[in-house]
Amino acid sequence: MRTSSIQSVSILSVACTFLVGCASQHLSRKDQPKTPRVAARPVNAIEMNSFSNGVSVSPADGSIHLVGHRSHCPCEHCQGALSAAGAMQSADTSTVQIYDTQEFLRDGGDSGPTAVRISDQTFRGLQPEDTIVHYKTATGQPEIQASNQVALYAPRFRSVRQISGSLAGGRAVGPAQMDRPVGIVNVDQPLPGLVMRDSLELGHADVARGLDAMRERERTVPVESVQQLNVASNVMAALLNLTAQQAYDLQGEQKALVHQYANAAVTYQLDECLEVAVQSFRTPSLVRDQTLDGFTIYDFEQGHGRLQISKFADREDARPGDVVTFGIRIENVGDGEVNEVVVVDNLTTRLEYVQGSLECEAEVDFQAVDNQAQSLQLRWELKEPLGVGESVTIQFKCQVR
Amino acid sequence: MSEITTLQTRLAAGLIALAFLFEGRVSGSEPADFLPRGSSRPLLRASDPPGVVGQARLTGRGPVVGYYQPVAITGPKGVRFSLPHAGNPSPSGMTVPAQRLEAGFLIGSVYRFQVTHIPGALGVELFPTVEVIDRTYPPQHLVTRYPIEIQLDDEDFQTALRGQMVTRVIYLEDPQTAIPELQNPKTNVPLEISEFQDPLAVADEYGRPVAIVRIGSLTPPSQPSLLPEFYFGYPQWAPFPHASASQNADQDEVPSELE
Repeated sequence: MRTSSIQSVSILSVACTFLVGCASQHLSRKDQPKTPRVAARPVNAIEMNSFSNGVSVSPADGSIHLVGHRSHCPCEHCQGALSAAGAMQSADTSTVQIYDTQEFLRDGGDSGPTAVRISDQTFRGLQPEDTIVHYKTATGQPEIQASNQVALYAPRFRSVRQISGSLAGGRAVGPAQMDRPVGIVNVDQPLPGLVMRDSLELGHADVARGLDAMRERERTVPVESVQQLNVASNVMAALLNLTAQQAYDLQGEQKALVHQYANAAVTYQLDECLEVAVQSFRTPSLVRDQTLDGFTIYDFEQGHGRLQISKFADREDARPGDVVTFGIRIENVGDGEVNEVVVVDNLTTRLEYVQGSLECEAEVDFQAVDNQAQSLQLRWELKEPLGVGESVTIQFKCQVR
Repeated sequence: MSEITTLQTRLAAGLIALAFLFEGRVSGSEPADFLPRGSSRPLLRASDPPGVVGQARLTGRGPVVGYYQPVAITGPKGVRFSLPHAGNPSPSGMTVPAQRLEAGFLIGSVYRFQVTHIPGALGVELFPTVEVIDRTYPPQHLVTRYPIEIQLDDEDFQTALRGQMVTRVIYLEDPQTAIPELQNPKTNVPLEISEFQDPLAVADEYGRPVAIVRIGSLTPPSQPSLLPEFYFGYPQWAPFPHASASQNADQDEVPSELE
């Protein structure tokens, strides 16, 4: 039985919408049509390879943008404030924007090494900026999923100051370098008066003139070296002939292989198409898309839960002292419920959690512990399992240091 | 037996002498303590003449030639900054003194600006220089909103008035190694280094150096013919499109926190 998962169908629909010409505004995930789910069956999901490279989730509203078409989209949101995360992977080749990652505050993702859970309260490999969700499927298999990365343009400047003595200007007062010790180790040495007279330029020039070397160079320019060009051209001609002979000298077995591969290529081109099957019902029409580079088929086990975590921020730039609202949304896009869901956000150094700013839809156990970046590690543990299609949104505020 | 005793005595004396020697060495730092580790020696130093480091950056990578990098200079309460007009200066010479000097500076050029109304030094003027040695890469609609912030404090001016030289290297902080404290005019204190260290090299360890400010007590020459040399040829600079709005907005904020 082959059925497509809801996630893949929805992603495919969004991609098709953008490929048509960005006819609609950004598709919020909440506005997507509810498609009946198919569960308790092996699932084959078809997903375009280029989708993950060309689409970004907006940190502002969670909508999906096709980055390659952003500059061509006439809507106000696309032409206006670009999300920093999307802008950093801008695919518009006509106006390439250069960015420096040091000017951005990034939060989210799972930078190396990959985070693993070694106990109920401890994660290993969790770097600053990382945001992950840990859960267990119905079969008890632990899984870790990383969120997308949110970037805020927030450069911070500091300075190094050096105070030294006066370097220029006759009006300056107080030569501060007078107190420094002056080396007097050479006072007792005799003045090199005689040495100065002895070091005549002529005597030194006689030694360094090197007439023998000049004669050697004149003698070592043989005529044979000029004639080597003819030799070299002959060698090239001989190599060319040798290449041509090898190219036309096919053996009998090689000719058969060439014919076989040529027929295989023709056959493959004629039959190349993409087929989408939903609930073991083969679609009556075939979708032919010449721009499709390929597809990936994911085989999921029966009743396998899968969480998708996305992170967003309410602004794209921040000065020191500004407050940024972050949101984390986790959604069960699999075919079975998940248990022991733990969301961990390891705040970076320049983000300070605002106490009491947490808002969560579900009942969670919240903890904030110090991390290695001298900030906080925020942990939310859901008290209830997350069913199929259910989602939880967590919001909190941070002050930019 | 006597030889062993003599040897022990000599060893003890040697150890005591070594102890005194090391004690004397660690009591104070020497210039050699700040020599660069290893065999490498930087080509550029903050003690180079103004303009050398910035001109070297123009031969590097990236779109830096002809780019006007927004810079904002602030100071303690009451201090005013003004900039000479670019090109052919007017007889008055300087712009209207403002508490927040904002302009777009060319990378590699050296700009000398005027500092007046220094607290505790009525009527005294200083003429520091600022040299932009690298640029930032903000999104296009945030170019003037996030200039290079150069915040000078009262110690800079008082030190310069005493006849000493203050060299500040402004750097873009690396967020991975950022100082975990909220930055405001009170906490934005510079990193003090020794006279024998290179501030450019130190700033390069903590981030990306973007500007060098040199504050001395040099005053303009009395002869007008020497003024172009004093102002480094009056290089071109670009006014901010929103300079007046941001200036009015920040005038009430910065001084109150510095008090």
